[in-house]
Amino acid sequence: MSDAKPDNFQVANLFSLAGKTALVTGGSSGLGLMMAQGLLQNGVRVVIASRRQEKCDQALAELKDYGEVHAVAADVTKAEDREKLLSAIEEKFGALSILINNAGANWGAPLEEFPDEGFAKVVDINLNAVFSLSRDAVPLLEKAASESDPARIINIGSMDGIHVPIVSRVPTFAYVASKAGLHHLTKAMAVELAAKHITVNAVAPGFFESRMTDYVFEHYLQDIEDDCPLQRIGQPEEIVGIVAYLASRAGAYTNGTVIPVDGGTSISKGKRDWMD
Amino acid sequence: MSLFSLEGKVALITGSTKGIGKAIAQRMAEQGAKVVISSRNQELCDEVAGEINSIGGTAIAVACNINYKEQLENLVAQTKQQLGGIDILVCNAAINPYFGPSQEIPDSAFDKVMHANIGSVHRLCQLAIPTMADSGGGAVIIVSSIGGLKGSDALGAYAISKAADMQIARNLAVEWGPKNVRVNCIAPGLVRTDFARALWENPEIYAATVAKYPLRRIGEPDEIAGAAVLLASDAGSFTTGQTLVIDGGGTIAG
Repeated sequence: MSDAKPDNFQVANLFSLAGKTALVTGGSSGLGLMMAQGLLQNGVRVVIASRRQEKCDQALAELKDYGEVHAVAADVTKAEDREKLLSAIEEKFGALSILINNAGANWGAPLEEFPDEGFAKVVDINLNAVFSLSRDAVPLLEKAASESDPARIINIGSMDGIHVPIVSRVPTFAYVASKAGLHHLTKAMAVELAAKHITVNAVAPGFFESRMTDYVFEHYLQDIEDDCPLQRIGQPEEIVGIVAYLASRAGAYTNGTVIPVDGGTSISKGKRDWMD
Repeated sequence: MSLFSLEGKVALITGSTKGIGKAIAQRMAEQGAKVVISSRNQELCDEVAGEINSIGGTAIAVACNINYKEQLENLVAQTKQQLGGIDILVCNAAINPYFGPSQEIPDSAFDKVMHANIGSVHRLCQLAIPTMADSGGGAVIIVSSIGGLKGSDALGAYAISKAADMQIARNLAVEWGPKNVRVNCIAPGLVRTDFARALWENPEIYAATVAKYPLRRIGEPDEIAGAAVLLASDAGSFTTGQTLVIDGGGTIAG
C-alpha cells in the first residue's frame, strides 16, 4: 500500500459495521444465532444458512425485527448447496463483506468405540466444509474488499483446538483435531488471501450456552466454572464483541490470529482435583 | 450503551505521549474513559493531556520513569487520588537500548531491559490490580511484541522481555480471574510510529519491509488502539490470559 494514511479513523467508524453484508453458517441456533443478531443490530445485512428449512424459518422469525435478514436452507458440506447459497447472496447483496464459518458438529465416544464415520462426519463439517465454502466465496468476498477495509473470513474454532478437554469425561477426538486443523487452516488462508484484501481469523470460544453444551452444563457446570479463571461461562455479547471487532475498521490489520474467548480456561492449569 | 464503551472507567496508560500509547489513550478517551497520560517528560504529558481535554475528553498528566518503584507508586496513587480509582492499566512503556547479537550485549544493558520491561510491568500490576479487584474487576493490557514469538539474532534481550509479558498475562489471568480482573497482551508487528520510522520513511526500505507481510503494509497506531479498547471493554470481557497478535499476518507467514 502507499504510505497514505487511511482516512476513516473517526471513532464512530473504528468499530462501525454499518452497510456491510454477512453470511453466518449454522446461523439458526446457538453461537450462530447470537452472532447473526449482533451483526443485524449493528447495521449489517445478514444471510444465515442452516441445513433444515424449519430451523431457518424459526430463526428468521426471531431475527427479522433486528434488520435485513435472509435464510437459506443449505448443507455446506455439499457443493450444490454451497452454490445455491452463494448465488442467493450474490442476488440479494451482490457482494459479501463478512463470512462467518460457524456451522459445526461434535461426536463423543470412548476410543475403542469411536466410529470412522463419526470421525469423518465431524471433520467434514468442521474443517473440510470451511475450506470449501471459503474457497467458493472468494469471488464474492473480493467484490466487497478494499485495501483499507478488507473482506473478513471469521472461523469459529474452539478452545478444544488449543487444549484437550477432559471436563465432559467423554473423548471428542474428531472435534479437537478438526478445530486444531481449523486454526491452522485459518493461518494458511490468511497468508494466501491477504493479497486479495481478505483477512482470515479465528475465534476460539470456551463454554457458551448452546444445544451442544446442554449435556455438559447439566452434569459438569461446577467443574467448568472451577476450571475457568473467570469462574463462569461466556455471555452472548462476549462472542458478538470479538466478531464485531474483527469485522470492523479496528480489526483490519489483524490477520491469521486465533483469539480464545474462554475466560482463560485454555491457558490455566485448572483445578484438576476432580479428575478421578 | 455500545459494547465498546469505556464510559465511567479510569485508564492509566504508560508511554502514552506518542505512538501506540498515545493512540490507545486517545481512543480510550473517545470511548468515554478518563485517561492518565504518562511518560518521563512532564511537558509532553501535559501537551497530550491538553489535546484530549481540548476536544472534550478527560485526561490528566503524570510524569513517571518506569525504572523507579517510587515513581510507579506515585503514578498509581495520583491516578486514584485525581480520578477516583483505576479500572484499566495499559503497560506500554518499554525500552530497547541494544541492537546486536546476544553474545555481545553488556550485562548492564541486559539487566536494564529486564528491569524496565519486565520489572515495571510486574510492579505496576502489583500496585494497580488490587484496587481493580476491590471495585469489582478491571482489565490489564500489556503491549508486548511479535518479537517475543520468534528467535532473534539482533534483539535478543528485548525479545526475552516481550515473551515474558505473555507469561505475566497468563500468570496474572489465573491469579486474578476469580476477582474479575482480566490480563491480556497485544503483540503488534511493525507499526507506523517514530520508534519504527527508519523502516517506513524511505519508500524503498518500506517496500522491502512490507514484502514479507501478507497484507503488504505496516499497521497504523489506531489498529493497535482498537484492540486495546476491545480488551478493556465489555466486548472483550471473556478473554483473559491471551496474546492478541496484530501484524497483518507477518508472524504466521514463513
